[in-house]
Amino acid sequence: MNSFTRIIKSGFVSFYRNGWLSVAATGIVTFALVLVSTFVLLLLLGSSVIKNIQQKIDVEVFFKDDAKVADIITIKDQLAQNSNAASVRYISKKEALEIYKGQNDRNQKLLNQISEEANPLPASVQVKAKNPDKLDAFNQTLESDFAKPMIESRSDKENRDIIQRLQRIVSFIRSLGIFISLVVLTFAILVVFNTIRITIFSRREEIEIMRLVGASNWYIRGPFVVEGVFYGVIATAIAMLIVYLVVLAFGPALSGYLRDINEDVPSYFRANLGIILVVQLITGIGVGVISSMIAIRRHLKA
Amino acid sequence: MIKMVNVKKTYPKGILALEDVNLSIGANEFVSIVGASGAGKSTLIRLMIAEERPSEGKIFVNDRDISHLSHKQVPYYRRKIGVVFQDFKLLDQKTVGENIAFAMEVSGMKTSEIKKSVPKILKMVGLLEKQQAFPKQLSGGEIQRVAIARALVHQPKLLIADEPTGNLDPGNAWEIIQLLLKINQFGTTVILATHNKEIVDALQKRVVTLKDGHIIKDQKVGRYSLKK
Repeated sequence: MNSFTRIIKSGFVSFYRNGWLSVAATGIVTFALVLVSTFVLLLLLGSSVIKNIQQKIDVEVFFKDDAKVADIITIKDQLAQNSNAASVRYISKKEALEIYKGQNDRNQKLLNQISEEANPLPASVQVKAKNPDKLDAFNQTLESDFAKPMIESRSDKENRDIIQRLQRIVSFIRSLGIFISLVVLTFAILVVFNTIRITIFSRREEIEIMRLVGASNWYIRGPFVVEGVFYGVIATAIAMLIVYLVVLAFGPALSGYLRDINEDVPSYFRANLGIILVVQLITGIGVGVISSMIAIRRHLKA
Repeated sequence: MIKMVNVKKTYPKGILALEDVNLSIGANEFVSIVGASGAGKSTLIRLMIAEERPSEGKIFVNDRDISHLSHKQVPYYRRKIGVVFQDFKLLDQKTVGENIAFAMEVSGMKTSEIKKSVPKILKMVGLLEKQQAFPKQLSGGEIQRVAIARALVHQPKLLIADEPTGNLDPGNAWEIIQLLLKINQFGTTVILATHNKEIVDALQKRVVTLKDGHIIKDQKVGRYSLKK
């Protein structure tokens, strides 16, 4: 055995002997990790949703009911010639009604209120853009004196509002997440710090003697840091399991909610497993190392 | 071997422990440091083992200035000196052999090497047969011999003993002094802090006397007397 294996062994023995203290320390680190990864997951999901919506932005132009079909077709053809247009589709009032019925086929009450005679849905032209960042390219056509009086509204502006709202939510989650995570991480550090301090206290004689016979600071510090790392690693394993189970349990419901933007939360989690694992490991080990380093500090002054 | 130049040590709140200490100890010397409690013996020892830093002045050990050793350097310095204390500082839950091995493990020696060295060192202090015993099962004199054995694991050129006989009866105490003399004969400088008059008088070696933080006497062949 050399110093390295001695340090690892000593750290493990101490972890094992601490019994319930170890359980408490691991527990609080686990709790902190679950929280941190929940927020990370929400943020990742949020930004992915935003990206998804951003990519789906196309211009939907709704026409007033008195606009003539022939004029609408003219506008449609003009849009089709735009270099940023990927595809252009005309949806008549009738078609719009069919689509609406299809989307709400389970809501009979709603369907009863509309009919072909009293159809509130406008005719529209849908333009899929090649580059969603350059929707202004269509302005030339849509803002022209010919088109403008016929147009009721444009949907790309509404979508932008939604994205802005989402971005605000995501940035709120981010601030909230950072704040709560910091609070919980501080508690975790305190608990681990205390646990390791108890270990140090029970071994203070040994530490004193180690110093007297010339143990390097790292040799003395090592076992306690290893103990801290153990808390982090075990907590990561448990936290990972918890987060995975939570995603399995609530993921499908969330996916249903986000159906329109095609987010499959469980598979999204699986795809980001690596990131979450790395975040948890770094946080967990970080908590362990920081706490033990602080705890042992004053015992090393020579 | 050791050279202290104008050393002064004050503890926080201005408590003066040592002042104007100039001391030179050559290789292979056996020096007793005597003085009443509070005279500064312990502070002097603590300065020598780099447990404390002097407030003023310099301390050279083997021509190396140890008055400003960094925390990182202290462990390596400690491996070059042997230290023995009044309260032994052995680990009760480890056997005699393990206590000695511990000091070697700490400095990163290989297990195979340690296994070979431990019996050799125990033999030197005459406790080979006690390798598996726990400190609690030994007499005070035997425990102190284990501590001395541990101090010798790195074959130090300098052995510092702080009241090594303080907790021992006269018979055991004399045994320890004989061992220190033997170690000195093998070429190790020994510094012995004590207030045991009989021992100092019998040794017929150099005696440095401390009083109120000052060296008041330094005799080539000295006797224990706290007067000037």
